[in-house]
Amino acid sequence: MVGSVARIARVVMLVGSVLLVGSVAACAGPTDGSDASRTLVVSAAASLAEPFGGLAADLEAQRPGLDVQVNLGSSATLAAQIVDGAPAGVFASAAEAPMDRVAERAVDPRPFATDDLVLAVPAGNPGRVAVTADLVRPELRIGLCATGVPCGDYARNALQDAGVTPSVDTEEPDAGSLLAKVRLGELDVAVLYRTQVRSAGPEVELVELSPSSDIRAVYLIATLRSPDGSPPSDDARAFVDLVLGPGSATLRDAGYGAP
Amino acid sequence: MSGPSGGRPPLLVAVGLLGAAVLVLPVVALLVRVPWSDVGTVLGSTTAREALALSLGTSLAATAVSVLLGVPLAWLLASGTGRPAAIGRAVVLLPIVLPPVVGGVALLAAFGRSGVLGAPLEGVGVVLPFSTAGVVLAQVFVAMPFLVVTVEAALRELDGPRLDAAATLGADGWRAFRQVTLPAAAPAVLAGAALAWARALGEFGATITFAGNLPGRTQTLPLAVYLGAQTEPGTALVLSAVLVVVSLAVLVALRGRWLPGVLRR
Repeated sequence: MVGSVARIARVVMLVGSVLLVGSVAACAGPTDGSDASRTLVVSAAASLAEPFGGLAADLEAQRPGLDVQVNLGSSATLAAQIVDGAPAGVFASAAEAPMDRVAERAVDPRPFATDDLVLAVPAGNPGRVAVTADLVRPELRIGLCATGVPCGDYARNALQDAGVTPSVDTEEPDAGSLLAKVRLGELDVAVLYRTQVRSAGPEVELVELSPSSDIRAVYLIATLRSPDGSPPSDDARAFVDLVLGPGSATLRDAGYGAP
Repeated sequence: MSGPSGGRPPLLVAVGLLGAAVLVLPVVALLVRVPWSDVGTVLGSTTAREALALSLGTSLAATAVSVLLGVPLAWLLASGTGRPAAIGRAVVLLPIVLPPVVGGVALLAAFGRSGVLGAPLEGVGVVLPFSTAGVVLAQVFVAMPFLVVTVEAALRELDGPRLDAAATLGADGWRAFRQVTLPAAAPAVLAGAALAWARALGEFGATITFAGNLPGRTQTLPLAVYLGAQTEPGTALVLSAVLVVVSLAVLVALRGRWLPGVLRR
């Protein structure tokens, strides 16, 4: 009996180490060959989907063999992933708090764009939303981003400034899923970023906050150290340089303000 | 030790143990990370209390609806033959394999504002998206198939002679169903209901897509875990542990009482 247990233990270790070596080799593969295909993961706030998709393609064109993957989500979720060791090389956050949370890995965060808030309504504005104060109307289906998510915190600040306490029907986990529910016509109104609503297509219309709000979303970008502490990759620095330099034109075209 | 273990090929045992590790390790790691000293504070918070109450209420309601609609559906499938029954069985299984988010989108297509049923329903004042009833509907959609599958399997096993005897003794179809079929299938109904309840309790994707997320109205435990994970990791861990413990309790209870009879074959 003891012999068979020992034999089993030996086989477990053998199988385990084979799997381990295999996975380490798989991880190490792309990084040591400089010209081999390699991947840069850019973790970006969901609202940046459009311009960052274009900028990722630009960088791939400039750097053969590079595959830029834009990982979209709420800045809060992305920050939690990065703290937990996500293999991201760049983090673009829609607010300061998530960037602060990844301070151990972020190198020199810089503001690169600003955005402001608007009301997003489905095509035809079925709820006849005209002013910010309309958000108290209980018959309207109203969506915000959740508290702790940048778009949710900005929206609550703006509404508080306007003295409006909305009767919220859903608190969505990120700006993308909130926009989707407006697009489907399931919500009458949501507070979202101007650039996002502008690029949302014909299913979504934009209503200005009135009175206007001076709450502005400030986007920050930083290269990230790897989870084990080694410095950011050359590709990561190139992406950030692109966003802060020539790529800023793309961002202005998409409606983002200069920081 | 019971049974001859000498005959087991060590490689198979080793790979099997590795498989067990893949399943067990994450849950153990989760339980290790739970800040146990904060459990009282977290469970006392409004967010947790509301999510717990909502999860219990909606999942029990979804289980009740699943039993009321699912047992007759299982009977229909079990008594059916040929192609229609086969197609029916596949359609009923679909929500089990479908990604729950897709289920949520489908529910919006049916019961949303511009949905086939949603528009007429809204005309008579029934609004399901973003409501607690919507949460229950999403849970029924993903959970009822588990009950139907379990009960249908049991009904097929029921011996025809017993039903024939009941018929010979003069019992009409409804009486035979109530007095013969149902009691015989009771263990399967209980097992199916427990499985459906566990599935409803853990429902996330269809719920957040169809019913949204609002504390006290539609934010169930899994949604609170997901949103808490971003801003209050401690809360998310404690609520996760609650879900693990409850799910384990269901499995343990089932294992002793009902599951063997249903799953043995």
